[in-house]
Amino acid sequence: MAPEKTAQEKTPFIAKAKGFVVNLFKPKERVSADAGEKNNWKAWLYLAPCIILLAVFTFYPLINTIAIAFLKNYDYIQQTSEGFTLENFGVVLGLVGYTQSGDMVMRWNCTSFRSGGVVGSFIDAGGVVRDAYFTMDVIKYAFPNTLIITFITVPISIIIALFIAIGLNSIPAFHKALQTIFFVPYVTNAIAVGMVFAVLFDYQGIINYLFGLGSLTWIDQGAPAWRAMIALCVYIVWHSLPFKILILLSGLQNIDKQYYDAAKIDSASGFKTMMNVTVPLLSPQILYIMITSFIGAFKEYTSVVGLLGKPSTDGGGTNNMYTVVYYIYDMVKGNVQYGAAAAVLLFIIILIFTGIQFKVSKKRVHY
Amino acid sequence: MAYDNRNFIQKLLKMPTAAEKQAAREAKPEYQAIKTSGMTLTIKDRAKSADQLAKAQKVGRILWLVVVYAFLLFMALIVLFPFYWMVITSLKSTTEIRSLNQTFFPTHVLWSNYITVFNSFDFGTYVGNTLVVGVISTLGTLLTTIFAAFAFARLNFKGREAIFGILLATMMIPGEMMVITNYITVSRLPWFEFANGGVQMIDGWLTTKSAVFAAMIVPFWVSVFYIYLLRQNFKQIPNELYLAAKVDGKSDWQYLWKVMVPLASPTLISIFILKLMGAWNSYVWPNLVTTNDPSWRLVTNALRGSFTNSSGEPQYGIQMAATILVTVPLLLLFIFFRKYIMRGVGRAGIKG
Amino acid sequence: MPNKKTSIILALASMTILASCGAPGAGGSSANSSDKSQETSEKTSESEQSTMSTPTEDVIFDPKENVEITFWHTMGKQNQEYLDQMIAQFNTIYPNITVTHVQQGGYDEINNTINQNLATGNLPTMAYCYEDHVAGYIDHNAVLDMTPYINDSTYGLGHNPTGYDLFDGGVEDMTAGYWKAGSSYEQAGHYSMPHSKSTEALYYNKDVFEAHGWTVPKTWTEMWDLCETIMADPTYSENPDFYCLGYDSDANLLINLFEQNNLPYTTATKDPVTASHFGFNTAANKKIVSDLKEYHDKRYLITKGSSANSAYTSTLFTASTCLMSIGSTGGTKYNYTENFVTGVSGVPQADLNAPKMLSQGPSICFFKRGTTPQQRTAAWLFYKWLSNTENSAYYASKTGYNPVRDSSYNSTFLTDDMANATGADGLVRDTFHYVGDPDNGYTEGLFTSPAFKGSSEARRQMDGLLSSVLLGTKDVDKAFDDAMQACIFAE
Repeated sequence: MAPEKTAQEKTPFIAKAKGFVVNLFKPKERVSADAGEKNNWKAWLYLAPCIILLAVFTFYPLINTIAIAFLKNYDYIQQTSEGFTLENFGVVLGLVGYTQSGDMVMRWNCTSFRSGGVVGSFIDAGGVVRDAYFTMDVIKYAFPNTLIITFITVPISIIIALFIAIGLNSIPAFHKALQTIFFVPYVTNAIAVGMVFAVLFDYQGIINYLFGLGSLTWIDQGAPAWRAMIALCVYIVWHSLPFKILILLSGLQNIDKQYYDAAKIDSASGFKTMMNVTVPLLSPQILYIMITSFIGAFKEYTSVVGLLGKPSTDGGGTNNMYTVVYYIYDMVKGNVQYGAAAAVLLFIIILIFTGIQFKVSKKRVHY
Repeated sequence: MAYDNRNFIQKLLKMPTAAEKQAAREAKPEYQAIKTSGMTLTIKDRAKSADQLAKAQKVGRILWLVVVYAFLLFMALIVLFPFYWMVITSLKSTTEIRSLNQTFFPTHVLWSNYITVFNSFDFGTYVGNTLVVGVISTLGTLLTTIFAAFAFARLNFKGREAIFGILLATMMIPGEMMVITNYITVSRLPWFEFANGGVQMIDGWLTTKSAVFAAMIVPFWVSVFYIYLLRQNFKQIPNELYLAAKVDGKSDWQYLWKVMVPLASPTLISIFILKLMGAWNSYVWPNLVTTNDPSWRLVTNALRGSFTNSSGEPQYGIQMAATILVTVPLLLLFIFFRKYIMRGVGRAGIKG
Repeated sequence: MPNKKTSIILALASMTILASCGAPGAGGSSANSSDKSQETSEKTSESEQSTMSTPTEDVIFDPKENVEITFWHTMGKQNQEYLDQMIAQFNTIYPNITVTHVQQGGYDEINNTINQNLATGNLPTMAYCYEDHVAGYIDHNAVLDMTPYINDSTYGLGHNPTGYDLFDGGVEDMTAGYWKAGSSYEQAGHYSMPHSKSTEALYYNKDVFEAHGWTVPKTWTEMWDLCETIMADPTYSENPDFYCLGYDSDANLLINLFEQNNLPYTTATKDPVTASHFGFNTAANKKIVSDLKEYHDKRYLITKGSSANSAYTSTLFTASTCLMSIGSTGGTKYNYTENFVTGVSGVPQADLNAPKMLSQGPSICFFKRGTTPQQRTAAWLFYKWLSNTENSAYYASKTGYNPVRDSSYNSTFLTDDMANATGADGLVRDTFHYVGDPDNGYTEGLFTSPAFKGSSEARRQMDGLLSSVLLGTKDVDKAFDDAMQACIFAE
């Protein structure tokens, strides 16, 4: 408990870390710079306010989060734990479960499962068949839902935004007015507008009325998760269109008119021109919005809060509408170590996806 | 262009500048083909068919425009419909909202939903708090952003790209994870209060109004996204200006404030407004740090509390009235500063 | 092992040359450990006190010294006005006590806020709480054992040093069902005081009942028989939205039925055999739920959780799509309508000889961390004022919550002021009379479910369990397994 001990413990870490840090910060290439190396200390001075604030309010909590993900039974209030563990990741992934009396059980030691994998039976040391309980919230709901949201809303919204942007770019009048209208959803509060969509999708709401669907439940209790997912995706697409339209439009306006003249001379059809000229020339913007909206979709949370109010459509029995960040947020209130583990996993997944996108784009994006 | 495969974010940063792209374009064969005017000449030679072609093209173009306008208008209707529904729902009674036949205009325009919302909290106080917090945190953000963007765009130092990459990576982390740690941090920082002619030191930023305001402001004095945005903008300012300033004997500091900041002022205004909107929408953190006095809260906090009433069924009319109160100031800001907001957001994508 | 964690943080921090960021953390944790040593010493002195049986020592109050106390609650704007009035009167007796009260959102929110502030020390003097919240606060040694205050010879319950009329009876005057919940913790002591308490009652459409000559069911058997009779009437059976009985809280329905049938739900201390707080995953409990599912399918029963927009069933009741509604007495007014006369009766029972009805609603707990003895006593005096015979009756008559003192039912507010009340107020009065009448079993039959870390999760899971079964999204076995899983991970 004594602070001196802490100081002793950290020395070897720092010694090791120093070598790493020195390597990390070695410039890879000498850029023929307009400013010389003597700017070094000055640059740090300019960066100081930003770095200090980030250090205290971003990096420290971040490192804290990563540390917590590897601690057993972390207690935020006392700031205590029972040491280093990988258990939290196991729990989040549904690989580590507990019996009613709190004994830890591995999934692969179970012989049979029921209730959708939530309960696994195993034979304990005394030869008795017992039940172990696993959390399937992340594996069955949070990750699949997040992936569904991502792979439905991102392509759809990009395609719609592309059509709208190209349309806006090709009309002679009302260009500004329409552009403004399409941008309005950007300046709204996600939770507030989510509540508006909840009214639209109410079982006695206007969507059912307009399409003659009777009292179909979309987001109310008892609605199947897939219907709630449709409503959610509609809302997310609606809310994410303005940003994409704007970015694509600014890209379109940068395209040299001569490309289109060339296409006209070749009497290429409108669609052909779009696929062969516009889209390739827009590829940097498309890549940019793909990356930002993938990251955004992976972090989707406020839209679920706004639209559904809770992560469930079956009355609360299962969290069938969890997204990964919703799960993290719920865990922060009670089992913060699971939330931290899920956050680390989410970060890794986002990194991998962003990496794949760059790899693919290397071949396809025309700069 | 040889890219380092290991660092994806660095690749993002190494995307070519406008000048480089233009050069690349000009290098392409089809670009050069356009420059040769041979094709124009052939058309001129066959004037008649060119006329016909033009006519056909004109009809085709008009038809195409009709399709495009129809599509755009249809999409615009979809985009605007939720707003329309929000407004008319806020003017309806619960029975009308719940009735079997949905009405597209309230049969009785009901203002009482708004009165209910207004009566449930002190709108003026909360708007005032929000403006104070929003403006001060925005001004601070502008300063740190200008300094950092300048360093990243103009100065050369060891580890520049690595640090910028790390900064960008933080944008991938869900902020919810940081809330509690930050709350504990803020509760332990010392604060100095001017009272009774002297300075008094208080433990934690949670007990006095000025300290709580600081807690709502200081952690938000830095934004990686805006640093990224401004850096892109700074990078577009040609090198020649910098070298000329050096020849004139201007220091970096003078160059930053006399040349770069004025040139980037549209982006700075965009950041100012976007950040202000962010302050208006913030909910979780202000709610947490204002536990000691409700009159320190911000507008969304107060609003959220006002429509979680215990009267049973969700009262959509009142909810929508409250939603409009949150949305309208944002829309007003948007209407007045449309150009800056859209330019600021649009600029994020330009240099890719 | 906080040291290990700190060192990891420091190492990682220095890796990014951000050693400066470690500073608040390091400073924080060392400050925290010193806090802890203080707490432990405080804890030992507390326990010494209780063993030495000189509880009066801690109850210090100087009526001349100004003192500020903070009260966190979840009252809506309307109820805060009643509170302000009571504070104003309180200040005429104790002008030196300034009461600041702050609304902290809903019950979950206030618990979150306090939990987060257990780490920061930014705590109020007194706060609204549920028993399971308090169980968590006790674990962190943050709440005050009120035993010395209750028994104090100067400031204790029923003692009055001021000369004003405080309408303050002794412990025996506190409604037993509510009072005993304050000492139902694993640790010995009295940690929470009843405040906005409520129980449940059955509201029925008196006009329809009288027209058909039906008697109000007292047991569940009678209830389901009556439902069968009702559904035989085409007026009701042909309306697809109609259900005979609405129950406002899925969890309360299950907890009541488990308790009435002597079935396991949760236990305050871990069961010696299963080493668990949760005992509800049994075949008999499942039978209760599958029976309810059958009644729901026959449209005998609808709950808040099984209606599409999770409407309170009082809304269905006043709209005549239910003929009976069981809900919190705190929400009595919502069962009033101008369209028909509403009657009040008790929650149906399994065994009329041993009636059981769930009591709920927040209590008030007092914090010892970060407060001075003067503040603690001031807070206690304020609580005594809020809960005295007249104020308890006044607050109850305005809000619909139940008074926490038996004498309140005979107070001038309920006997004189409300005697001629009509409309919703009249229904509130009728409910008070029903609940206050010893013949109806409420004084004896009130129970609370045990409080421990995880008990609120158990409650939440009972809600989800029943509604997902009634909605047909899950079978009974899976619903119980899921609920058990969630409870185990919340513990």
